[in-house]
Amino acid sequence: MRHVQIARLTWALTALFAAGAVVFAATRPAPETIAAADPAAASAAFEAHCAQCHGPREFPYWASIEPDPEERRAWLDRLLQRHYPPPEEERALVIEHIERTLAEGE
Amino acid sequence: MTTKTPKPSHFPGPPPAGLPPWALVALYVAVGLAPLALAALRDEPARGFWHELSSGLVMVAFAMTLAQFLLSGRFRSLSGKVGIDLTMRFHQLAAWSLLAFVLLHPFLYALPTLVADPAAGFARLRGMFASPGLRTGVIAWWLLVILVLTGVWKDRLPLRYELWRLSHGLGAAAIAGLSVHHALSVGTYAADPALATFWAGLTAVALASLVHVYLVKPLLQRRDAYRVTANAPAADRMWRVALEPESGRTPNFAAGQFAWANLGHSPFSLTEHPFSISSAPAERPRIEFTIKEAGDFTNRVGEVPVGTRAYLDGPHGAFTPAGRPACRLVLIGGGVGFAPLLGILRQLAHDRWPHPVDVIYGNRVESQIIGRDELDALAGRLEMRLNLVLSEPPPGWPGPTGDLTPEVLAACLPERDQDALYLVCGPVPMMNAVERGLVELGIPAGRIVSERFTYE
Repeated sequence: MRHVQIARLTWALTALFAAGAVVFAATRPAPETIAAADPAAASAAFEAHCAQCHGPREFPYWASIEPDPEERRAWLDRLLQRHYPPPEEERALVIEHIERTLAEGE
Repeated sequence: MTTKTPKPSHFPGPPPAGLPPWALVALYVAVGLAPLALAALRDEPARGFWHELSSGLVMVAFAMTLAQFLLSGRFRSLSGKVGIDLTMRFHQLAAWSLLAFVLLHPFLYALPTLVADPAAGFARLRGMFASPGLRTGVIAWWLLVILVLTGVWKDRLPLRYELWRLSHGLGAAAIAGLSVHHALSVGTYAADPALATFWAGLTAVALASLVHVYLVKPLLQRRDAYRVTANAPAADRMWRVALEPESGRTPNFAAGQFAWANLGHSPFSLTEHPFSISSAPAERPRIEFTIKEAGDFTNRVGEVPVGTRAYLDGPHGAFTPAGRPACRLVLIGGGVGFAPLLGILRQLAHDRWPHPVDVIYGNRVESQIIGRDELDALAGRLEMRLNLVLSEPPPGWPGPTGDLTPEVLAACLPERDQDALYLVCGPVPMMNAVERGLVELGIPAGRIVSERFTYE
């Protein structure tokens, strides 16, 4: 008898976890549109905070880590919160510079 | 006929230790949902429903994966009360659920693109699987597929069980390591210190449980070694193997429990087999197993010499009347599945159990009955009704005949008490038939206790 109950319990917990993930996804805020930034300001932000160690030659490698532009923006955003973080308001500019350079190189 | 016997009493002896079932379920739910709760607290730029669902499902799946280590680690403090057979069954079934969540992970990321432009969606999927930054996650993804499938089909693989078990453990450790790297390096929510700490902590607990199983436990077993003190035939192709501890200490156990026995190998060897304890706790420090010749190792169990060093992992299992209230016990066994019931009967006789005991013991032929003379003697010491059922009886057999069908059960149980406790152990088809038969006879499912390690 108990082996039948354990199977039911497992599927019930699976459904609960799946429902939890659905609720989690449905209650996240809607994606925001990233406003186009001034190319000069974006380049300046990169020069100021990143260029001492990194250059455009590395951008394709970063693109290979996260091929999807949307995912890459999110990844770079997370990375830049931990790695020599630029000021909050300039983080998006740095990312914009990288993405713009990559787009121009394609 | 149904009767009501007053004043049920608890079977003596300590019930198996461990978390009550509701606490175990609550803990599992908490571990599974914790990453979602921690991620929901983080103010992360959102990426759309399907991306978030993908992240949510894979976070739950990773927590479930890490919990799998604890579920399969034979921790009595976790699974003692529930029963390790059920814990392992849950481990097997939960593997399907978490595999489904993990398989969906990359596809949900690509779903919006796949719907809008299938070619671009597949290109995106290819990009994800080829991305160096996602390599640890991709390897873990494939390893998990292999691990689950080889677990399901382990009996069909050309691998010895011990080798499969080692590869399963190492594979699981690799998946945990690769997944935690993937989560912490590219996980959307891994920048959250609380979630990163959760992953690192849970992974550490999971890997520590592996170290405990493969290193700490064998060391403890080496300290508490046993010697084989007797090995004699119990019935046709069945052997009674008695062990005594070198230290003089045998852990307390409840009648009906089992242990994994390692006879003659290093404590670090993975060569061990689960056997029901057929002796009573009152007989400690001596501990006895009744083992049937039924496989590579057990076919030679009769050759294990007296004096052989042995190691035990146990006691385990919740197949015991200990701690359960009952005004009558009904013990139903088939073949070597009667071994734990013999231990229970021996303990009942030792404790002078004051209530009725019905024993229904099915075998194919008479020579397979374990301890016939002892059963007759126990019947004299207890208020016991002994039904020896044979499917191939000799001429003039006085007892019931046939398989343990509802009709045979009804004939053997003229009094079917709602407060009685029914303990069933034997081959899987027999247990299925008996459990169905008892329910057909009006026995509440909650009064039927069984234990099984193979599932159909």
